[in-house]
Amino acid sequence: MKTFLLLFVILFVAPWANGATDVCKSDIGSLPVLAGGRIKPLYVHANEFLKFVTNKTKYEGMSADTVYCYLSLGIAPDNKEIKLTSPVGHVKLKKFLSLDSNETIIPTDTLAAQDTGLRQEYQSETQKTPSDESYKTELGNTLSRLDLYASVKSGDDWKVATWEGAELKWVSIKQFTQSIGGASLDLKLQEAKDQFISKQTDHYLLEMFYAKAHLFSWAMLTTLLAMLAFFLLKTTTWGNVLTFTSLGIELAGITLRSMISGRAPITNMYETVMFSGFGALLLATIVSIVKKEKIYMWGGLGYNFLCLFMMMFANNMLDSSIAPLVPVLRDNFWLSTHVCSIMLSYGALALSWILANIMLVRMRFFTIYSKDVTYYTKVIHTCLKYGVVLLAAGIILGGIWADYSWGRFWGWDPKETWSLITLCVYMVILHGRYTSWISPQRFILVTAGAFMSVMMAWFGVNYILASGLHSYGFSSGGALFLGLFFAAQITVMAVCSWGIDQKKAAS
Amino acid sequence: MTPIKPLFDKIMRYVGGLKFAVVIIALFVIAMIAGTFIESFYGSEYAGRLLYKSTPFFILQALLLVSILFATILRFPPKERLYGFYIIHIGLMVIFTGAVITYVTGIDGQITLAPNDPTRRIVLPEDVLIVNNETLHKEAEIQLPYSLLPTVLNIKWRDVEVLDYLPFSKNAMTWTEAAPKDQGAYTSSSYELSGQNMVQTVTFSRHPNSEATNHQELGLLSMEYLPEDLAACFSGLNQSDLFFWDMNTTNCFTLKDPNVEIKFSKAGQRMAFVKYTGQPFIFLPDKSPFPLDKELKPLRSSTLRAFSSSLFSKSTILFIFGKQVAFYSKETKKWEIKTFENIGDVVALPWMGFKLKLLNHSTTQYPTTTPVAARPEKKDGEIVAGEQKALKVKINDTITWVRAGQEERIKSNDNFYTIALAKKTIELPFELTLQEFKMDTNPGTKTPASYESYVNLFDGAGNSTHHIFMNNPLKYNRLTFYQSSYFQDDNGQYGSVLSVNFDPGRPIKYLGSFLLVIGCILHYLIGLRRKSA
Repeated sequence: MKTFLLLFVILFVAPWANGATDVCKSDIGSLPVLAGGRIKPLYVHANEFLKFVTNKTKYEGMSADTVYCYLSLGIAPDNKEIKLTSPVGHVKLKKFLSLDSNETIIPTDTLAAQDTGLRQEYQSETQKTPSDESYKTELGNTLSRLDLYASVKSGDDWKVATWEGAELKWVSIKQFTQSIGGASLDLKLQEAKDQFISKQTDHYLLEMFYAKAHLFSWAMLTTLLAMLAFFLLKTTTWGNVLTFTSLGIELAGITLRSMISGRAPITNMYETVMFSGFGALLLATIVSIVKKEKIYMWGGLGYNFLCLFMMMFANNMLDSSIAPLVPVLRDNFWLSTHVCSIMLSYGALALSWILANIMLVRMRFFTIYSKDVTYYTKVIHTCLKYGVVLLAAGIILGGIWADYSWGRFWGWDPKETWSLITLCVYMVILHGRYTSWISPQRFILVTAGAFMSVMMAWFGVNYILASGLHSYGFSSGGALFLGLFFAAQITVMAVCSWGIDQKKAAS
Repeated sequence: MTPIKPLFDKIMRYVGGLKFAVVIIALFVIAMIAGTFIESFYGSEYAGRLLYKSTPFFILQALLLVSILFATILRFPPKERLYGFYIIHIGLMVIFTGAVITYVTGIDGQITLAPNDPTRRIVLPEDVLIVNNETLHKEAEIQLPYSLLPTVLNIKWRDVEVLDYLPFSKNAMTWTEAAPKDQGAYTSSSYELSGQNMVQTVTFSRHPNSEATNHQELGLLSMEYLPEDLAACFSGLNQSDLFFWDMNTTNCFTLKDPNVEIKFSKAGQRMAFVKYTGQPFIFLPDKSPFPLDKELKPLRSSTLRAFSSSLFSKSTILFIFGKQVAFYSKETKKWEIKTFENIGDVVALPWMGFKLKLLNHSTTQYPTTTPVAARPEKKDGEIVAGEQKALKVKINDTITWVRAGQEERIKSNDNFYTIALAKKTIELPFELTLQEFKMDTNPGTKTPASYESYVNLFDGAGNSTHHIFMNNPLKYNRLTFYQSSYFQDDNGQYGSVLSVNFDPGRPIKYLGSFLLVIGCILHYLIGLRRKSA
């Protein structure tokens, strides 16, 4: 009997007792949670939490969901308290926190201890005229980090699906732990998940797959390999295969994302970058097949790579999380037609931009035959034509949508105005080229420069105009990126146009 | 052959030519770029008045249209390879035409629906001045120009003269001459208060017509602006810690006055029994400056007040008497009176290095807020000042400023006037009633997921119910109603704001858009065929 009891204890009680502490190491990533107005897997939410608070994806080798779980339950794993660190970037913030200027992180708990002081600093910065916008933004972000951190630590952030009869009710993990009494949290959580799946849906698990698959990282790799294959190998077979693989992976990613969110995947900056990269590569591949010209595909690969690179590394500017839409955008038909055609047009114009810049550099620093110039001018011209037609169509569709949902076709809203500016800029170039008013060299030069209007319409309206021009410091992510882009493009144009004139003079 | 024909041809070839088009488009682009930046700085209304709806910008667009038109005519008679070109350019002209028709004949207004309150009134974006002579029951509506800069209108209607119009203004303090009978009767002063990291101007007035107050608080510091004569009473505080004063006459007297008797309650509280203008008052001066009424509660309406040093020496309070100030110094443990000899003099205050500088002091003038022309000022993405519209109106001899959203009542020559600067309104031939406004939020958050209005429409013949939400407007009688905004009334009930739109240019713009797209396709196909041929 004794042995039996002992066996019973070892078999059942022990895992139970451990269950309370080890729940965070079990499969909790697939639990449904309610966060930011959407139901997502805990894995995704925990990763977003860790990324936001610490700007890292892991903590001492621990996965994000484990960290999130320990913090929410207030457990110190192996009696070692979890000590997160938060990024501190702004010089003034470092000074305020009395940090050394070369330090870039601060323990989150230390930061949280200064919460009141930071809040006062934010208030006083807001009341200043003129206030330092970039410092204010940094303070605001830091406070948001602390809010989220505090909410997680208090056990309020983690919402568990429970049922009151047939009605779904989300309760905090704190309440949930209290309500289950002495029962195993692990088992109860799995039970809640099974119940949610059977009563509601397991649709949210798709996002877990999406998050874990890292499709866009794979797409970036294959795009890079495709470029290398085209560059290094004599046959184009491998390049073609890799390009199509990349297209396939991206298509899968976009499809998944659209299935998860239930809408066309073109509603924020991250998604537009994703879509325009994909669109440009697709368009380039089709054109290169139809015209039997590889050059389009190479341009498309280059641009696609740039887009994927931004998606991967420009986290400050492009938020990859899936969030609910504002009411006015909730119309899939208009959203998909209008934004798709604009994004495809930006993709096509980006192709012309890449090719034009390559040509500028080649014309300036390498010898190039006028036959080649004529040929590439034709290629760039083709890209422009597609881009302009798609842009015009996109603007008209946008006008019709605005008319349909706001009652006005055109309202001189900055986004509208900049898209029209872009269209006019390219119209001038096309007309100038059509009547041979602009020479091929000049055509390449202005095409390279004209893409700045696209960047302004695409990013500038959101990152420069909307944030208010008082923050001329260009210090926040998007504005800095744009400023650098304009500076680089103008430099390339200045250096290379000087070359064009010289060569003309020589010939 | 007249010489006009070749000249006309020359102009046509020039205007229809590419160089002209490029110049116009370039100007158009530059104007638009400037417009987006202006909007970012000063808001959309300012950008609209300065640029988008200004005459030069209309002329620019007209020139663009003419350039497109001439470029098309120049390429007549029709050539097959240009079919796409023709259709694209005609499409553009059709869109322009539609836009002009919308601009001239269209209506773009708003209707505000309070819950269960039948409404017919549409508010339009145009500003009007509504003058109502209530005595004679006459009303006039004066249309105001869509101008950017201050404009002198000089419009006359009966006794009313409309003078200056400020489309963008903010309120500024100006010193106005007091009426002859009030000259010297009231003091007004303004000071510059400076401390660590802050400088602020404070203005006080005892003139009844002034908007400036007698009391201001800045953080922990509170300031009381008192009649000049009282300074003498404060100087006596170091001898006798209590005095009484009449707010109206500014008389003051101390404990030495025979009409004052001090007693102590059982709890040791000091009580003062005062006989003043034949009436008895009882004070607990160390508790409250007000006398007690029959129910032993503070009588706040009393003009006789007590001032006990112990009551005020603990708090950070500054008493200001125009050219003198009084405060309790914790260092000397005394009440100190400081004097500004001249304007510009500075007095050091005993709190954290605060300083007070006299900027202006007058008994013949008083400060009033008057609208002055301004540019909109933005802070944190929102316009905080400078977007006020104001009008200067003269009725007989009375000059008044009318601000948008405020109604002024003026009496002149036995006539009562109400004047208001408001948005133009029109009445619908039918009636809308909001039955319910629904706002769904994203689960677990307060961010809205949808706005919906359930509206009852009564057109004289019958009722019908409609459901209006984002991307699902109500179309009725050639008008379209869109869900635009919402508000909460005093009872916490939700009301809805719909935008109302009447647009006869719509089908024309759509036709133009259609032609444009068809033209592009045709142009492409023709190019393709020519290439293969």
